[in-house]
Amino acid sequence: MESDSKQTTSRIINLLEANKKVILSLLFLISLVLTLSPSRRIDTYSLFESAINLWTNAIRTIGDTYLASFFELADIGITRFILFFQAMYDFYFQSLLGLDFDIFRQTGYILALIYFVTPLIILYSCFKIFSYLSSGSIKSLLTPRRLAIALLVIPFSTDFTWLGAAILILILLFWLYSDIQEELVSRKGTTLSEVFPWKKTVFVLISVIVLFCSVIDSNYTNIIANMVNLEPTLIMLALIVGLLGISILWIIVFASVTQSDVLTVFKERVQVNFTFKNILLMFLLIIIVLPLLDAIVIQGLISRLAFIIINLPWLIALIIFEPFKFIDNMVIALRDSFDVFLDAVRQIFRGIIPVSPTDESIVRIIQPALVITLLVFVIILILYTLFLYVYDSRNKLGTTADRIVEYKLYIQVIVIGAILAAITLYLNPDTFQDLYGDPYQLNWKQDPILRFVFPAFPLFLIGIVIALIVVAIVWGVAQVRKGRSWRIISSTLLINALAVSIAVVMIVPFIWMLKNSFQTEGQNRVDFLSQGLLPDPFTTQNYAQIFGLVRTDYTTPDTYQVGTWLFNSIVAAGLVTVFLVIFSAMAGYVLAKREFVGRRLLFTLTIAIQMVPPYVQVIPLYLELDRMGFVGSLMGVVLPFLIQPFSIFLCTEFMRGIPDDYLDAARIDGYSEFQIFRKIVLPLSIPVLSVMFIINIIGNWNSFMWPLLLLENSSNYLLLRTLPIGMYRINSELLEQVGVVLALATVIVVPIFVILFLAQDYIKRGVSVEGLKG
Amino acid sequence: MAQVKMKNVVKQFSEKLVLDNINIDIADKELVVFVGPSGCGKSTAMRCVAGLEEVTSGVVYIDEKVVNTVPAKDRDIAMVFQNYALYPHMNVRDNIGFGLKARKILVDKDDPKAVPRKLRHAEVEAKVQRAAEILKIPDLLERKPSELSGGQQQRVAMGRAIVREPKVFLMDEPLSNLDAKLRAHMRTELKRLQIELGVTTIYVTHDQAEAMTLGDRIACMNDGIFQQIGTPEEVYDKPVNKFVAGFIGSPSMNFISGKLEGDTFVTSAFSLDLPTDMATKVIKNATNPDEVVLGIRPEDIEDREFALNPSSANTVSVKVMVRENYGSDIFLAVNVDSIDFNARVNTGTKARVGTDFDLVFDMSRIHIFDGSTEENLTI
Repeated sequence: MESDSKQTTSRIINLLEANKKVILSLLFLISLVLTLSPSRRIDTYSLFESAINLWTNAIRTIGDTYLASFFELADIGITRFILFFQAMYDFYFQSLLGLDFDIFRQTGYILALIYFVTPLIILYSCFKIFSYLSSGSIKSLLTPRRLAIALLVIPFSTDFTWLGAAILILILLFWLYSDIQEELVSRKGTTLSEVFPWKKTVFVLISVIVLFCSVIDSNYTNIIANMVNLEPTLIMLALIVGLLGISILWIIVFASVTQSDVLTVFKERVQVNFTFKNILLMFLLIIIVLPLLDAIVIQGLISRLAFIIINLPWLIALIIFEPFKFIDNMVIALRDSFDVFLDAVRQIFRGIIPVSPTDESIVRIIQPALVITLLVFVIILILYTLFLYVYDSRNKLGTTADRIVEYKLYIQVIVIGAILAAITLYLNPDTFQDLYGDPYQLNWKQDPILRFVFPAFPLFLIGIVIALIVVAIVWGVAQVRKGRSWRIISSTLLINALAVSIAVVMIVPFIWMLKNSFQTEGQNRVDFLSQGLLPDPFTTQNYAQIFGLVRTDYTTPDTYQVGTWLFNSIVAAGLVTVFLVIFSAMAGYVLAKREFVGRRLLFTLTIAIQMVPPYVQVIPLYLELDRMGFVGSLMGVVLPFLIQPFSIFLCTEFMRGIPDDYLDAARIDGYSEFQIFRKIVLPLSIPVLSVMFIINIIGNWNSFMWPLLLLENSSNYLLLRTLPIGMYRINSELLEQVGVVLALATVIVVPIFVILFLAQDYIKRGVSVEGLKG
Repeated sequence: MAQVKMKNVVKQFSEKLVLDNINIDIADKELVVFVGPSGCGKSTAMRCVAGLEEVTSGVVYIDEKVVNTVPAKDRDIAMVFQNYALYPHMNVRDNIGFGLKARKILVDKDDPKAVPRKLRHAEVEAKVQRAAEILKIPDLLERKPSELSGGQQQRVAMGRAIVREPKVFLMDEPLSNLDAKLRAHMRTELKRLQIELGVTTIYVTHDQAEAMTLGDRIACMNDGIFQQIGTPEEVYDKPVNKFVAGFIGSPSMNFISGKLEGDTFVTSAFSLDLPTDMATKVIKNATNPDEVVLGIRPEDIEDREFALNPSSANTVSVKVMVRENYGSDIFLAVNVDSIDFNARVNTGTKARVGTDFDLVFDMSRIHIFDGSTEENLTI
């Protein structure tokens, strides 16, 4: 008994040891959630709920408008089908039997021919089926797959959707059952838990739920909801959870596996699947799939969806017959879903920067929660480490020194967390208020330490300059003494000094921007040269103002929506850049490495397009986008720039340098063309891709003309502005507020700075693109 | 494991005929070397087997199965490239394991109902480890290819091929990027490995020494045609034509044009008596006895002093132009009138540059080639 419990403990320990990083992140998240104040927690809940509602509504809108049109399409298809046979019936039994041969002219000869051929085809297929039946058994003929295909070919009109759905449910269950049966027979001696097809089961369960709900029309669902007095969403959730529970129970009971087996299987699964990426994915899945399921299943879309699924061939046939209508529908659906989705995400994003004007200062919002979070985190971690330590020492695993090495990560995190907590604790609003008198303003002269440091800053700067000069001279003299020519040394020093001074000239505007954004309006009015080197007092008021933390009497709530603008900029620049890089890489690969007719022509065209100046394309492109309905949507800013000839050209030229042998080797190893692209060509092209990425993200982040043309005309332009346009508007509205404008400029520049800083290695590598050696 | 067969294979690049109706039958576990000068089509022939090139006409069989339309990835072959094609962004472990992660293979061979599946991580690791041990590179597994020497890179490339346990190995001049000493060493290793693994192998090289030492059989190729396919001994001793005779053997065979007068081979400067049966055979087969080429390998010409049976019928008096001492023997470039040829003689020779000197031809080892068809008339 004791050994059993010990085993269980060791299993749990192994589980916990499986992924330290995941556990650390989870612990931090737990402590973050634990310490959220009730009011803020409610805020978060409502924010989450509203986001999900938005998402649900969005899907419902799309379903109502566009699924409905598909629905019509399918309906038309079935009606036409039935009409065709009716007409054929009339053709034979009324006209031909009545010897009315004028009917040929009336129906048209081609149609008449089809009327003649159709019965023959039907007869032939009947004959085939019967001959098959006589040779083989009926059971082998009726596999679930064949049944499903046959079902798809039968047209079900709207009234009979429920019948089709019911049959489909049966077929799905039969499919799953026969699958498991087959596995069990073919692999003798295996338990059910080993052969159990998890993914198929989930698929079948979801399909069954979907179809089941379509059988009970949405009205019925409402009746049930009224009867048990529950929300439809809750019923849905209960259904899913119940099914999950039943399936787990079923596995444990019927698969005749012992508890420890389940545990070991579970442990293995966890070790393989319990990665940070998967957890994140699952989280996203829950966020996205649950509302999706809710919208589709509960909100009444389902019967239509099922109708479409059951009648898919008819819909496809109609798409073939009326392609333009279909494309039209698709384009509109795409645009609208993009906009609606974006709107939902934008709301969430605005919630992520959750500073409301009622909050006194950022410090007051963040500080208490952060301190408590950190402390809880540290305490949990200490307990966890202690637990591990005690467990290990009881089982005599390794010496103390070994254990300390093993727990180094935890100890480091504990120490860092404790230090951070101490700092945050010290910087509480009261201390801040005591120190600086104003939540946004730091007055050097009132600070006990900085009061003495501050006046020394100019001296400090001068000291640095002098020190640099002295170092340079000393270095020069030493070099000359060593025997190097003083001419070379002095010219080296001069060139470097020149470079440094040019750099200083280039940097001054940035410093000016940064400095003035931290100064009060009064200070900014003073001439730049007589302002002093450090802002005094140092104020974050301008930033608070652009993020809407402080209300001023001359602004409306709509003036500053920096969060929204930032979001729009990130979406526009990010989407364009990511897809541009992907598309260019693909196009480059094809143009560089694949043989096909017209490749050279295509490449020449790509180069030729670069000769057309972009401003020539403005009017035609605008008209085209307007016709497609993309004016006034962020998609209009994204779509035209997804393909760019220069990037394709760059990629092509780079990928030509990749030896063909790499590709041949992968081909022989059994990789498909796309895998070769992804696993060989893309990693080898990182230098050029990173350069493209950086160039394009900067260009699109700063892009001004297209957003101005496409977005400012729409009705909700306030929500669609990107940062550069917002800057332009603010600049024209608030000429006096230099500090605010410069603060916004800083906000625009900082992300680019961060990207450049993070990617500088790649830039260097990309600029000096090395040759590849075998 | 598998036979490879090429039947009437023709490969044409737009106008250029690269492979001209080639036929070869490679037995299971055999190592066949395609050898020939650059541009003769030997690499193309191999790429046709690999499936990297489509054949214009003809049939390629692997394991009795026509593979003309089978893509390279499904032919179950492994190839070693001249520049090794090691992916620079992966370390050695990933490079070797790369081919294992792609496709589904039949892992559980004992289980008749087993379906092909992808290898699990641990299985890949085990296979990589084993391949690394066979090639003696287990300590290099974490390195990037750029941190390896040429020989090590070569081993990794071999590892990538053997770890797959394919039906056929294809090697495209795998040793040509190594220095001479390492090449000789790797050649031995390669042969050992091939025998150990017992995998049918096609080996492409332009180096006749490699071909001679490695091959179970040699397929000597020129102008898109297999000139001769045979064991190294056959190709060396009984070359079917002048090209094969000149290509195989180092230093290469001497060719002396002349005519036949009865049993005697006559040039402008000297004459040699052929053995009678050889002479009758030659006269019977030759298109024109007045235009024939005598071929003799330098090692079959000896200093008169050390020759076995010197006589006036097989002795030529020459002038020594160049004397090179190889330690094991001495290499002479000699001249008679306008005829130049080389000889490899005993180190005890008294030949000096500029002096006249007597050389003896081993008449049993000469070849007579037809002047117009270049066919060997003596076999």
